[in-house]
Amino acid sequence: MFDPVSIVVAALIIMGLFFMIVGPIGLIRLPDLFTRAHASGKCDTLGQALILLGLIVYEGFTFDAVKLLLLIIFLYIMSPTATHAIVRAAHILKYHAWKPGEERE
Amino acid sequence: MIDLFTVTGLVLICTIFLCLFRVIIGPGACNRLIAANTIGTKIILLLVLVGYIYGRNLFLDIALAYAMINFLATLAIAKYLEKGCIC
Amino acid sequence: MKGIERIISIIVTAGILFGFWILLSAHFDTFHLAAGAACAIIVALLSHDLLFTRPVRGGFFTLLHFTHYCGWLFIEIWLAGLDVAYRVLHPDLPIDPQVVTFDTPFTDDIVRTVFANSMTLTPGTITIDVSGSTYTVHALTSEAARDLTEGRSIEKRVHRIFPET
Repeated sequence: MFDPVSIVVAALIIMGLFFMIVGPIGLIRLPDLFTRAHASGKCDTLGQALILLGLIVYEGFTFDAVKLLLLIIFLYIMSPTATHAIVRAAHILKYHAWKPGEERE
Repeated sequence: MIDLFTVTGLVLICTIFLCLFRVIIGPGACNRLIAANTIGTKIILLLVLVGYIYGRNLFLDIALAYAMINFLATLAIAKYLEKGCIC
Repeated sequence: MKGIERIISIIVTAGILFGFWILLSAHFDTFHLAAGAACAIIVALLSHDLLFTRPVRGGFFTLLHFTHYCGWLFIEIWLAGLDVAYRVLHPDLPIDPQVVTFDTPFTDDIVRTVFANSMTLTPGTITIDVSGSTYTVHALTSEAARDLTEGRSIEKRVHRIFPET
């Protein structure tokens, strides 16, 4: 259990889990849609990338590792685009942007 | 190492329930959509982890396909909310 | 697009598709390779104009700048995650959100996409709307908003990869 590869894998996965937990907490705590998009778009993407990176280190040099790398690249192109699409729809539907001092939704 | 993957999967399921809370209380379609998209991206990770727990790397291909379908579904729903039709 | 440019774009598209096929199949016998090559060429003939909407340009230096940019983006993604995590977990929720509108000199579609996605990944900002070269951005803090309208550090970096636009 204490060889260096396992320690790196465990560290990457635990760091990733931290960000994966912070994302939903932000989704619940933050006051409006635009700020929630920050939490879901940034924390979650970073958490996923870290966990998948941990699995790549666990896997070594195989075809599966290349597939995991491809999955990370896809997620990094998709996540900002999906966030942008949702936020743009909300902007066109005239969702109210929260200002400091207002009531939370 | 498999134990760590199992624990990771269980924690991910708990975070999915946190997101589900936002899907239920809303308010409005866009809030629900952003939480649903977050759930979808967590499911991708869960699929990869399940593949490693049971030792079947076929799950990786499923995760890749699921990532693309999740992305397309989010884009389609966002466009529907924006324009009232998918066109 | 005509003549030699069309052929180059078909060959590049077929190459990318064939590489993806090999990655997903992971078999190297004659049947799998031949089937992959046939499928890649048919799809490339039908849809090469989706991937390259303009002639392929740029050389070694564009690639070098892009690699350097990816390295910078990697650090910024880390900082963005830590920044949002700090603000979410802080008991007072120290956010000051504002919506900013500003102009950029970019005209090309790919450059606009790269700029919009980089802004979403860097700390404190997400792109709301792009119409023409005018961007509407939601900033989580007033510092991030000020950096966009006055400092313009991301814009300068994108300019360095695509100097002709």
